Amino acid sequence: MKIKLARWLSGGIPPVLPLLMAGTLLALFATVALSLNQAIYYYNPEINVNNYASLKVEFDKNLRVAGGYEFQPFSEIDTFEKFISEKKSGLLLLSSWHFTLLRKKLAIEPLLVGRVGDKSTYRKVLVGNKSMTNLEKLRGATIATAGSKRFSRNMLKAMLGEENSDIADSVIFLVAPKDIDALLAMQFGLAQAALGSEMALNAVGEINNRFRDSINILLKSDELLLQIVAGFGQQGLNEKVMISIMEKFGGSKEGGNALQMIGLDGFTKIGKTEMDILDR
Amino acid sequence: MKKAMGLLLIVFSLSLYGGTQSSHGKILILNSDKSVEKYALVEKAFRADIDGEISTLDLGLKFIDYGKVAEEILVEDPDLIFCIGSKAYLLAHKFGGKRNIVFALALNWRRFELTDRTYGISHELNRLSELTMYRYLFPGLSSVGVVYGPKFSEEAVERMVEDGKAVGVKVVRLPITGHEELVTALTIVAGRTDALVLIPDPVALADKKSAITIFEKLDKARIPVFAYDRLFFKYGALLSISPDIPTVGRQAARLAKNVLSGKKIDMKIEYPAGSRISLDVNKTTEYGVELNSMALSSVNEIIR
Repeated sequence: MKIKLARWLSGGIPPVLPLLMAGTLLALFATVALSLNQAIYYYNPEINVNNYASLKVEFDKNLRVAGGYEFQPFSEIDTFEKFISEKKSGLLLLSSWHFTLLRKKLAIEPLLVGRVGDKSTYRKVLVGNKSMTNLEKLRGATIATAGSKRFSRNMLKAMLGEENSDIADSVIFLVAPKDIDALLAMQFGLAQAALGSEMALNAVGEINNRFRDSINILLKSDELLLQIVAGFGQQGLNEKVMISIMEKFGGSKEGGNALQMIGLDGFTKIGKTEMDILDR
Repeated sequence: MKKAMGLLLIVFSLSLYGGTQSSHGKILILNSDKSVEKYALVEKAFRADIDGEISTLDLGLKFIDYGKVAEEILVEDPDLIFCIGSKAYLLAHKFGGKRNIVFALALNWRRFELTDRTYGISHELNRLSELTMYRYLFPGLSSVGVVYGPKFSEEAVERMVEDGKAVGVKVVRLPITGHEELVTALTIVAGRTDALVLIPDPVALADKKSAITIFEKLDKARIPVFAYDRLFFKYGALLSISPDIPTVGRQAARLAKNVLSGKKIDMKIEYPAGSRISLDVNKTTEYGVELNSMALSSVNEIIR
């Protein structure tokens, strides 16, 4: 190489191979520099499954290949909010309920919404055992839920409406890891009612006929948006690349598997209909 | 002799104390061994969900000096003892007087002597919820085999057969009396069922050799094994479902609060309200098991 370089410096043929190599290396460094410490930060108060290690492995596998990005899950809301409040910009993956709360404190912009099949919305349901024949009976009752206590009380208040919202203050929550656990905990007598997604309720009902015969559906929530990818601060090239990666995530088998670990099939761009639901 | 007399006196005074306590909410945690991860985790979840005066005695730190444990219970004078693990329960039962006891993570709790002041979270999941979870993860599952010693597990397996009917899974019972019958039972599992559900039965899982026999024989037949502890992945389990430890801690805290506040307790021993699921996804492909991909959001740990 030394000989070729000397010949080029002295007016000979330019050493194409070394130049190409140097160029490739420079491009590689630029990509690494751009994407260093670039992550999408995840927190979801609606489920309590401690699967963070596996989530990180599955998401990182796809994000790293696509551009050296990474997935950073959080298990506690305070740590998550403190962490992002100290950052100037970034991308978040969070529940739509949390998004509406967080946007009161932080200038965040919704970019993508999760989907299951072709739907971007879901409903929460409150089911009771057979003794729960009316809402008054909920007063002081134990409700099994997979959500955090704060999320569950807030959701229950919205479902009960203003006239009955005081009932939500009287209930005791039994926090289970996932919706199915919460529904089954009610079935075997640990709670008088359970709060979960309509999807989980249908799944358990289809499988377990004893469960199906032992419940009353007490309340259904309005349509809620599935999880959201949101951006905050100045969106640079990295964020734009990452959004594009997330949008295509469900397209590959491996990306699809990672998304299914958070209960989604894919993402779509937020449209007017979704914005209306968020602003409601 | 002097020491024994001293211990007797302490136990006697504890009995008197326990019987005349007013309920002010003081809790003593007896932890069988805090250096064991799940014992430490359950204590952390318990503490996070309950207020009040709580102290801990870690039984894993020292050679068990029974006199010292009895003395510490007397000094702490708790209204309730939260026992983590079997060792803790046995000591609290012996030296706790008439104090309320809540236990958790006690594997053999069914063999405990229980009193009207004993409460707890059982170490096994409700079988119906386990079977529901199997069907949720594997929609094509229609039958499972259970190999067991009738002397130990007949009642549990009978309940399992009934629970199976509620979720459309036929539970094939295979009672055995020793290792010689294990191989025959496994041949039936391989020929007639979609999977083996492993239960903590001392006849079926008499020793390491039994475990190896089960996994090797069923691996050859491409029949998955659903285990109750993730340690069975080293032998070749496809799935493990076990109690979720933080949930157990939260439940114990709720139970303790209810006991201390004098609330009527409908269920003195509760099933865990949550499960922890580990799944070997490569094995599902290898064995040709149909996996409900949407159920992956319920899986805590993906093993590849």
